[in-house]
Amino acid sequence: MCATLLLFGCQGEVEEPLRPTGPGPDPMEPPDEIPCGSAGAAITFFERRCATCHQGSRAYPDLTRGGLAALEGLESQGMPGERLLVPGDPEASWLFRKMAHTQGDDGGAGMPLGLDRPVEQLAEIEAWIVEGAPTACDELAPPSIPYDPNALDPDALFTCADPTAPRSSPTRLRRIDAAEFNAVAIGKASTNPLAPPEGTRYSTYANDITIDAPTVGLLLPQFPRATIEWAVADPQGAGARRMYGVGVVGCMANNADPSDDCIDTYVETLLRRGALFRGPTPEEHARLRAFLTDAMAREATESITRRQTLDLVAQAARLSPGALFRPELGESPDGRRRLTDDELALALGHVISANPPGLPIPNDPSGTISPEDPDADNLAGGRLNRVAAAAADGSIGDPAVRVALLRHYAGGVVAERRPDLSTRGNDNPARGEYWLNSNLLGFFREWLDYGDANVVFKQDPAATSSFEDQDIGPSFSELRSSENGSEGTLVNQLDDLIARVVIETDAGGGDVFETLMTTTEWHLPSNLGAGSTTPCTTDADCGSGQTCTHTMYCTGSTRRKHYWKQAVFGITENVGVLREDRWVSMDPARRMGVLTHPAWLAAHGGNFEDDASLVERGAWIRTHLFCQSFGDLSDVQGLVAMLPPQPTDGSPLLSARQRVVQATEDPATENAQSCYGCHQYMNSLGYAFELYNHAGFEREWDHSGAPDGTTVIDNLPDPDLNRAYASPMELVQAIATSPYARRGFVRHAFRYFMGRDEVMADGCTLAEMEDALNRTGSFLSMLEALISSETFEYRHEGGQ
Amino acid sequence: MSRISRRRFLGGVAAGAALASLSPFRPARAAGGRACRFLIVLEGNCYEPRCLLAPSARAALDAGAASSPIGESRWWYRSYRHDAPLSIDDGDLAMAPALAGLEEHGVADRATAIFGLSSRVVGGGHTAFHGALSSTRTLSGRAGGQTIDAWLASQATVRGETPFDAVRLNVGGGALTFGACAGAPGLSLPMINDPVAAHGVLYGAFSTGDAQIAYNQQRHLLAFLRDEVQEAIVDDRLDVSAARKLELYGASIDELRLTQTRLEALALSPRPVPEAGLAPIPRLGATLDLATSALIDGLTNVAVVGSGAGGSWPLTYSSVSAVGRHDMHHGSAGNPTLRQNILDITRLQIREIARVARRLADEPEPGGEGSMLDHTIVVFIGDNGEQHHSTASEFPVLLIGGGAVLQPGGRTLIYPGLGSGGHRQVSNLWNTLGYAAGTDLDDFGGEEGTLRRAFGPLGELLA
Repeated sequence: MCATLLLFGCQGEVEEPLRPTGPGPDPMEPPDEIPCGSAGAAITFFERRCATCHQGSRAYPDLTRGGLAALEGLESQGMPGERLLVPGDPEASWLFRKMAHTQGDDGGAGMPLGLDRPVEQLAEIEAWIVEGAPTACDELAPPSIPYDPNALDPDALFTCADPTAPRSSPTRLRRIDAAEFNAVAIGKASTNPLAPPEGTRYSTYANDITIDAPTVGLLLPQFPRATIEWAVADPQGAGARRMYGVGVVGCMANNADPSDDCIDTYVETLLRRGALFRGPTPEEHARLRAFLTDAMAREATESITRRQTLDLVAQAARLSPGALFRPELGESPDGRRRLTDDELALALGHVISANPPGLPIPNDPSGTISPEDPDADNLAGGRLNRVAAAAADGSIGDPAVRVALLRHYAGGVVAERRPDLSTRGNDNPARGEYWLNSNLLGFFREWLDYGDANVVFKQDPAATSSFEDQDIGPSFSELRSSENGSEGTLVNQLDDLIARVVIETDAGGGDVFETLMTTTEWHLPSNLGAGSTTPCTTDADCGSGQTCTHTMYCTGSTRRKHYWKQAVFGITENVGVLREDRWVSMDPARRMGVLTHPAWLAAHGGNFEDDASLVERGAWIRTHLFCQSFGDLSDVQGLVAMLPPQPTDGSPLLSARQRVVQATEDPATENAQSCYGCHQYMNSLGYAFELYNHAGFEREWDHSGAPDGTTVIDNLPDPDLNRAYASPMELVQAIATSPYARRGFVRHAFRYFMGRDEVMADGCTLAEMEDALNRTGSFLSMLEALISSETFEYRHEGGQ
Repeated sequence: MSRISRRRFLGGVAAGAALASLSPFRPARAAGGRACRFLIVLEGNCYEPRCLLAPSARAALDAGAASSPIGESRWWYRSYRHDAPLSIDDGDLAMAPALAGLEEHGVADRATAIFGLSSRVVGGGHTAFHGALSSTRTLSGRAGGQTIDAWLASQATVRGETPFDAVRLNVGGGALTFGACAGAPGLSLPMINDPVAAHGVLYGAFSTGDAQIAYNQQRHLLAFLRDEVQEAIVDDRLDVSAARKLELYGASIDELRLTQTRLEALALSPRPVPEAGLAPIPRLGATLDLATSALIDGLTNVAVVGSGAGGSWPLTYSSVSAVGRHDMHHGSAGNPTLRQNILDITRLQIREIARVARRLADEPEPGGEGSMLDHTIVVFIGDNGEQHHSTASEFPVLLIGGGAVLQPGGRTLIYPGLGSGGHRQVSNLWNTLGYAAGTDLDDFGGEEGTLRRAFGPLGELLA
């Protein structure tokens, strides 16, 4: 049972808390030819399957190649007296017994964690021990242990022995991501395939991410919609961009025989502002120009229109390697490889926004572009035009200039119109006045991983809450379905809360991490957005087809979609339609901080009220705050089906919490011990959040009893947090003050904005980020430390 | 109405029991060859088990295989009480409420209605998205695993030398639907919603006018991109990893160029362009015709045709009701008219499916025996299960064709319910297609541990 209930393909250690795993060769599929017989097989197995965690002092015992050689003299830490390895005698070897699941009831979980039966290679391990457990094998290939940054010692990682030592990051080609493609395609791509592949930690990562044949096949149908503005000289009808103002496209579209200047200008502009977002090399320019002139030459003989020609050329530019892969390769005129100015601009731009520097801004005939837009003073220059200008004049190499650019574009608080919203919604009082540019907000969406809260299926979203008998379905559905519409979505509510926290703490109003964890000033949707002005006390007071709602106003079907929008937040009072009405002080005894926000809870909740949501929530806290990972989260099959069913013999119904306990902790349950090997790192953290159901509603009852949000935590790496908690509010307050969790926040920010895992060599930069955060409490100041660093600016050959 | 006696019911149970004993997880593959083609039709608002229930099958259930008479029930997955699959072949399959089209097009004896298959792993709800075809759970729009069409398309024995590994079409809004098919976890594959656009993709190489221009332009585009990749790779700043990324991109372009090469080698006459702006049923018919033509013309051996699949629910069948299909289900519990409308739509859909099955039956198998339908398995399945707000406890299935590899049709197979050890799952159906394709596929899908009730195919189907 537990193998499927577990969310993770757990790996771990024999006796110490679970540590990380990472991608790598499939441990179940060793290479065809492994030398040295049983020795080679055993070494290979332990390296691939176990040593990600069991290396050095991270998890006892060390099962790397060197560690195996020293295993014979060691005893179990959990079962003193039990020798880990007795050459010639597998049954006397605790290592083997743990793997064979013959360790007994007191022997802890079988290994590797997460399996309810021994691995298939057990016989090979047994043969190796019988043969004396040899570890000498010169012919074996060098060790290949998957890297996982969570395995790094945080104290060592945040130590900067020599602040003046050179720093750098690996060179890479970064394939553009889905948001960037969509921005360039002015939102005209339908679902595009450039989402990060399975197992990618953040969308900004580049490791081994390329474009395979299915992806190319998926990109092609996006055209010509995604290139229309480069093919049609119709500023009003084609979602036009500002380059029409200088006739770039019109010159080509309207002249059967365009001049050389016209062609060159078109090609240069298309490459610089529609594809590469850097200056093209002369060769790149020449090749696309030749492609264009060849295509024009075929027009007459093949009955091809100019629009079709321009569309073809725009596709060619947009799908060229330079357009799909942003270079971070650098040049080394002075011996150190520094990003070129164009590369720095692209890298900085990507820290800030999905819009690459110079991306044309759509024409604005109705004048709805916000005067508070950071690019409002130079709309013709396009998005992030100051970044593009800094690349052009070389000033971007100055860290102070980069900091100023970050500050200019990061976000802020608006008096009227939000620059980050579409022109339809940017003066919408339904959204908060605080905003963050897209990739800055993107970090929080990806780190907290709440972006899917609008789309995860929720059966009976209000089940077990006080709203269970209310008609909340239409409102909850509407709350999750109107991005940029008249009301923000559930995800947008958390977006707006986060933006306020970031902006206010940056302005000196406290510490961003602590405030995120504990704030009670939340942005809520109004339930009066589609108001009726007819007061009522009963349905009889209303006209045909209308009902009298709890707001004591008549409502028709449209208003049904709104009048319980605030319910998921536990609010029964009306939330007004004015911007200031939507900032609501939550009851700190019931909601506090982002981890009790329904967007986070729903994103990390199951489909059904009695799903094992607590496992998902606990797993997030373990991995995203305390940087202890358990493998990837892709295996969630059977989350519901593998929980024990509700009793049918008339005995009391069980809560999800009780069923998870029964499945993973109850000694009477077969294999529960193996299950608990991993679940011990999730369950206790998740229990606190069982006060809320799968959709984020506060539970009023929980099957046969009252909701239970108490928990006892005894295995967090921050010892100060290991104690009993009466509620999730207690837990989040404790987390808010944990320096260990705080470092998790810093590390994840580094990962997202650098697009890679941290390594020990990043210690000085991480320490500077932490110091900036501790000194100022500001997220943006923390980022300043990153983008000012050599880690951001310099490269070494490494390959990602 | 054909009625079944208690004695005959027991005989059916006995026969079922015998079937079960003869259907271990790995049956020997029939010597009759393999299926060459697959056409999967996916309904996005569910279709209800009652649609496929022939009188004799109903009688078998009423006589004891179900805990209570089926009556007016639209689904009854909790009622199964038998422990071995029932095979009922009274010749009345086409008398099921939605199966008259089988008789009309003369394929009733090549069709099998299947009940009792669950797929709880997919989660149910309005739609299981990719789950129906992958037997994994789609979370937040992200496919949990490869769908069976993609698996089949990846088999060299299935694809052969066809230009397209698979053709995926859908009746839905927007240009593309990404919610039903997947090449791998997290990699959704598009279904083309516009039959005219789909025609251009399939037959553009053989067409005239804009379709041919679009095809030729793409040929030029791919050639240019291939050259660009070659130019980019020579940058001496690239390390091995970066160069590898570009090489793979180049290889991807080469793969698309190979498709074009294979297309051009076929030298087909283009099929007629489907009409634009059709209502859902005629549009489904046109889409099915296009997919079937692609199979007949050798453009592909795997086709998926959705109808409101992958979350593209909002279809209104105006000839049946002014109420949209999705809302029709929501309002159906207390509205017998809407319930009848739902049934009528399924009947019309199956008539279209039967029609294209007839087309395949009328085509001789190239280089083989029998008709193309004998070597084509047509599957009609809903994308969420037994009801609109499904628990994924039962996916009714209609199979047509595949006579070269499947047992004769004209019958109903009823698998035991969830509580029985003889219960089987949709993943077993997909395993069956794998076997039909010539591969011992035993563990398709994401069901692990006790979630998977049995490995291997549905032995009761394979010849």
